Amino acid sequence: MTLLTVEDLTIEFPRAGRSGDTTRPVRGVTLTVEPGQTLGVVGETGSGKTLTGLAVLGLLPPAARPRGSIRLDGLELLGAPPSRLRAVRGSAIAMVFQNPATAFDPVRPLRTQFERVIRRHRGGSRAQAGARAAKLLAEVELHDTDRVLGSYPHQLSGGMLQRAMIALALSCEPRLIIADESTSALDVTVAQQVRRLLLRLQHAHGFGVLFITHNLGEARDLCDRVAVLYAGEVVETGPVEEVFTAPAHPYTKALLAAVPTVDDDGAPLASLPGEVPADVLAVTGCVFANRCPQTADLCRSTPPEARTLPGDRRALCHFADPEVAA
Amino acid sequence: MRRFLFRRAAAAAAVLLGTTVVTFVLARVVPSDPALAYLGPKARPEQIAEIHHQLGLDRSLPVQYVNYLGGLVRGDWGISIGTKQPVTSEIFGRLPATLELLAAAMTVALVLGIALGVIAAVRRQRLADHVIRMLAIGGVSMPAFWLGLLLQVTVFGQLGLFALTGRNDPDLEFTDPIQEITGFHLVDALLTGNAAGFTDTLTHLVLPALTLAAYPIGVIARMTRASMIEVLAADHIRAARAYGLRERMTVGRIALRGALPPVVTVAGLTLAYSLTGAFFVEVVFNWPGLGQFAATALLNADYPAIMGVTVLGAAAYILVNLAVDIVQARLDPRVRLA
Amino acid sequence: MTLLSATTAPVDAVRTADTPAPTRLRRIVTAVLRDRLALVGVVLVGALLVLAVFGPWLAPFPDQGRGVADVAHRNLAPGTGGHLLGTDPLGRDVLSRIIIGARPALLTPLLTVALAVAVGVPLGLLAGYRGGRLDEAVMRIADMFLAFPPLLLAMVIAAMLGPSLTHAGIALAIAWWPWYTRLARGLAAGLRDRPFVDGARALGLSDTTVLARHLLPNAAAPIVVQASIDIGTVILASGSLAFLGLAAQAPTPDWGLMVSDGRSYVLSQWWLSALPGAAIFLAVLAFNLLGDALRDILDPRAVTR
Repeated sequence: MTLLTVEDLTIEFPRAGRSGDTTRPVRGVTLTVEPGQTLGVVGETGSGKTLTGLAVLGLLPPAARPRGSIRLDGLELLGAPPSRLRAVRGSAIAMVFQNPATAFDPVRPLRTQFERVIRRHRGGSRAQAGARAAKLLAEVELHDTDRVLGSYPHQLSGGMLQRAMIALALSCEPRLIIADESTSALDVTVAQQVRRLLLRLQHAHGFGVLFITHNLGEARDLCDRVAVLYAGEVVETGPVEEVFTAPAHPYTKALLAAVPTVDDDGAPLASLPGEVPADVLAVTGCVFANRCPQTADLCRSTPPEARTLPGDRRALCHFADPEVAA
Repeated sequence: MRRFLFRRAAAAAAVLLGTTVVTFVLARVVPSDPALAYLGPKARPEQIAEIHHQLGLDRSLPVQYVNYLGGLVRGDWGISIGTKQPVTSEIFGRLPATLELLAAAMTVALVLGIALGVIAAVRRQRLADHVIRMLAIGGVSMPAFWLGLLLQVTVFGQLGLFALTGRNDPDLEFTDPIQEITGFHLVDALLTGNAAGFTDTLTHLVLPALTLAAYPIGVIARMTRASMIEVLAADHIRAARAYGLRERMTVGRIALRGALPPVVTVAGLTLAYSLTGAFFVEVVFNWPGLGQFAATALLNADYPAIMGVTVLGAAAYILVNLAVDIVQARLDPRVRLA
Repeated sequence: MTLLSATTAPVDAVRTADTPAPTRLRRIVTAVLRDRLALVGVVLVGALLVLAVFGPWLAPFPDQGRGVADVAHRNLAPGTGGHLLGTDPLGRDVLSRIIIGARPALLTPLLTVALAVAVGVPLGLLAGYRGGRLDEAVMRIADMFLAFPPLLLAMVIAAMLGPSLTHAGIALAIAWWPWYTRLARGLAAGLRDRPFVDGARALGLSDTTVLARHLLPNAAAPIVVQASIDIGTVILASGSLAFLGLAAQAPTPDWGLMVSDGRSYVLSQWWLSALPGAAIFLAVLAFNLLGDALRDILDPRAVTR
């Protein structure tokens, strides 16, 4: 059975000041994560990818109004009672945050923080929790476990903290790990080490991963499948290799074209003209129409439907056409 | 941690020394002549000169300062012009009464203030929040002497609750006298199993303590609220929730712990502020403490007494600030690096 | 110094060269108007200022306000005999005394704070900007004053100078200036390494110009916030000094003095102490609300809402 199913997720926020006015940063998002697989959620800032991740755990800000369905192994999470959500958080689903330095409690040593989580979900004594924490740290290649556990967050480097956070995520044997831009704050080499680590752990433990990132190269490196988000909608999904070598949606094509390569020596950087529409809800037709190189009248009048393409792929475009990126 | 302690303590000692300089200068700047105060307006020149010599006023200023400092250290703080007793015995004899009042007030203030602040932060922008914020700003704006009088008129005058003035009922001396062991009547009554004395002291303590606590409650509640709001928005609180920790733990232990350092600072500052606030409460409630003594001394130009109280006040103030620094460092390890 | 200001962290209120319309002042006014509590503060402060300026014309019994007795009508309860707030043991109309008393109650604290700012801020800015030995010397002196509880220091100085309203004001100013020096010094020290300061100096501008034209505007916001909150505190302190008998003397209708005078009658003629005390409370409240509102507007980092 599919591990995580997000179906038609829409998140609405009342607009500050005026009543009756709303923004909808996430619209109709549908994606799935299979057990043991990694789904990359790719998009630029503001595309709604972080909100989607937070929605899975029910961690949206209090003003948010989510609709749709989010199911973990068939268990409905959206709108679930707080007790169910709290039981799931940190145990069945664990989150790895972007900035490990701020995600840990700054005034407590790491040991205390591991103890809190482990004892919350598994019970047991502090000694038992401490022993488990040490084992987990060793698994994420932090070997000086006593020193690390005794340290405060500000005493450790970003890379070490991120590994520690992954260890914390593993502590209660999660079935799904949500990684929200978890390598964005790290150096390039450290980021790669962390990705390798995550892969290795996934093979060893068999959890699924929802990997949120804006970095296409990273998504390709790490993910089995990818979902591309634009302005709150999923514009394309499919196996990562195929989507990246033969993108179907014009946005994906443009994204890939924009990535500079070694051969681009001296050439101006390719970029997309225009901007994401300021008021997405006011747009009739396709949200991408104002920037799309292939726009037709149909695009401006009618919003596209998700079209299924061969190879377990979908794209949100009237003219979805898998072809090699320019 | 020890190095931090040492550095701070050394700095505090230096500042204390500085305050003795200020106190000394203030005493010498006084427009009136202490000799005249002793002898009265009809004193003859030789008598005045004799007193000047006795008090060392005919020596140079630096020498006078050294003598003064020496006296402070030795415990010779002069004789009170008003009571003709040594200033030290007057001050230290009355100190426990004031300390007891301060302790009661600060305890109430911390418990109520923090509780109200947390509630206001958790129920932000709702009714409870607005009510608490109004109470807080009211408490902070209220003159202590006025509040004390109001409480006397309403709670005692109209409702007949608690006591009007004084630390204990004068009759208690005959029925269940409190044996002074520590000087703190609540403690002493407990230690000697004096139930009547305990209740009597408590009854007399309520109104003055509440009056004195009004300002600190306001400040502490506001600071707790502001600090909690900030901490609750922090990443590690979201992470704690993401890991399924119970709300009571997340708010009550993690968030509150992180929110406390500025609250501690501010609580220490309100304690320092209340050192002088106690003066007014003692005057209104006829509380036999340091404040009442000081208020009388101020009006009667009893300079040795005033100087003594000033030095003690400064020392207490410095000590409280030092204690605040230490507690802060204990709560937040990052402070120790500063 | 009040503990309300302990919730503030000095902010970098860097003014941009192109301030877009609406002007900063306009935005402040709009923000104040939107906030109900701030509005109450502004209205109260306005009313108090009106009383302070026009008191003698507004009081129903101005002579009694100043101290002329009318023993035939003494100790009247509020609402009787045409006296809205009653009369005191000398028959003087309490309402008039409170109204006339608004001027000393507000004027002295305003002047005190103005004096403390005028002396403390330039000194602090200079010390923070220059650093080095000047900085150390100034801060050592300030620290010596700051080591005392401010009200205590003011009480002692007022006692020494002799009881009078002017002496009380001077005493308060002496007790309060170091807080502004410390605040200004901290701000200046924080700003002196900023590029715009280097730029100003590279242009060859003198220290005074740099301080006055460049540092001061950027340090102004926290200082204004502190001062507006301090006015409330100093009103309270001034009333406290009067209560102890260290400030104005009879027959001046000083609110604090009136509270003290009424103490002996508090259980029967409660209005003698309660009403002037309420006046002090309202005045302090008004300025505290105003100061709070200013802080929320000028110092976005201090979260209180």
